[in-house]
Amino acid sequence: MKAAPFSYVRPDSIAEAVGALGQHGDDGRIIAGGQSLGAMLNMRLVMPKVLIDINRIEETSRIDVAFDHVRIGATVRQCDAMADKRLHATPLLSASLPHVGHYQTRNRGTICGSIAHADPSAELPLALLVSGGSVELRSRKKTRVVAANDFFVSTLTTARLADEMIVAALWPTAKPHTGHSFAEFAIRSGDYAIVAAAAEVQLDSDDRVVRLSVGLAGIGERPVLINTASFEGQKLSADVLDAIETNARQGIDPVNDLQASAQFRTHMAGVMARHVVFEALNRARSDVL
Amino acid sequence: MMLEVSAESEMAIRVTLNGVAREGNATPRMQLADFLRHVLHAYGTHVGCEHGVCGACTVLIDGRAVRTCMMFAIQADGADIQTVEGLASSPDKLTALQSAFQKNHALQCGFCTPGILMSCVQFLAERPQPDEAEIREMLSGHLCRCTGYHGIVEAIKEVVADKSTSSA
Ligand code: FES
Ligand code: FES
Repeated sequence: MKAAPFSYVRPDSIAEAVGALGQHGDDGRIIAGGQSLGAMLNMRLVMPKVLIDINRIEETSRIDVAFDHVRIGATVRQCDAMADKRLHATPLLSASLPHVGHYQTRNRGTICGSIAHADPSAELPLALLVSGGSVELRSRKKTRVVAANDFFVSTLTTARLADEMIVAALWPTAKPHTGHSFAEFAIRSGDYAIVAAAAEVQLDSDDRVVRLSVGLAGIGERPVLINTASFEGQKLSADVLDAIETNARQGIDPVNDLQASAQFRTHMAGVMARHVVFEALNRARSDVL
Repeated sequence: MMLEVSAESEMAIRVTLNGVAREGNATPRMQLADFLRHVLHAYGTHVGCEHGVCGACTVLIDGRAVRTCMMFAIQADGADIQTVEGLASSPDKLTALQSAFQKNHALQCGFCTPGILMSCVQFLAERPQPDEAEIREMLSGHLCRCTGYHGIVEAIKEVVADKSTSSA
């Protein structure tokens, strides 16, 4: 299993990288950590004519903390993010990172690379979606910011255009009185999730929901948010948890494969959604008290 | 100037391999694992799956355990690489980790062993006192088809315990 021949370019700046992308379009492919793309290249699932290696670009290797979000550059490695104390501001991201791949793949894999790859059961796209984050895309002509919910389109497919590079992921910082939870069910630690779930709950001082965001991965072609609009302003009673469990199983379209049946995944979607909301709720309450 | 190498051209790749400056040619698509084995003739690094699953090809690149089937040689130009050949100074002078592997039957066929040893080097340097759950979590990045992992876990625990008594 060897990659098909490709030409190699190694830009030193974002400007050079988007220049190369603009020149090569669909024939070009950016490689960051390569922990997903490397396998796809070796298996010849993708055969770009030009590989654009962004690993030596300085300006994308930074984490910047802004007033209401943390900006994670395109080449920030998962292991470096895990060791960065500033990620306390984005607890759902911190909670999801240990589930991503293995110790060895996190040494090289990047946060933005996992988001760009958009595997339907991957952890980081789910966490970005539930946090209400977005992706910063740049081409030779312009920069645009796309909300996670609009960015993830389908299996390995995003709203990124052929001449655009993901330059950063923008992760909203958690508001006060917010609890979070991330959980996944996988056969083996480090495998892609069979079902993963994530939640963020913000409460007011009266224990009522200000914001509730719950999402699932592994249950369709992209991570999805569960409909929670009707729970805002309510207290999260056992009835509400029942309703979340039911809602989680509706409108999803999981696959049957060697690891799990669609029926099992649907069942797990409800169980996991309930679990993460309950855990996030308890964390939010301990934050209020 | 942005480096550009066409698909058929070979580029001279310079690395430091176990402390020694080495150089060899590679086209862009050559995996780093193949470069180490077939160009630099460092056969200690093994290749199992070639798609990032088994961990057999793991080496230290600038101190970090990385799968060399998921990197191209051209990306490693200028890197400091440590492989299993760099651990023992001679076959009868094994490192503490290697001796513990031998003693605890942490290998049978030995195919997975070089990769696991290199992961352990970084892991134990970062975390001198890991608990068993952390050890197993780190090992989840490696497949061993012989040992059932038990001996590997025991070997690592022994090294950890010896270190804590010798430094106490
Ligand atoms: S050969 Fe590289 S991970 Fe299996
Ligand atoms: S000793 Fe044979 S694969 Fe691990």
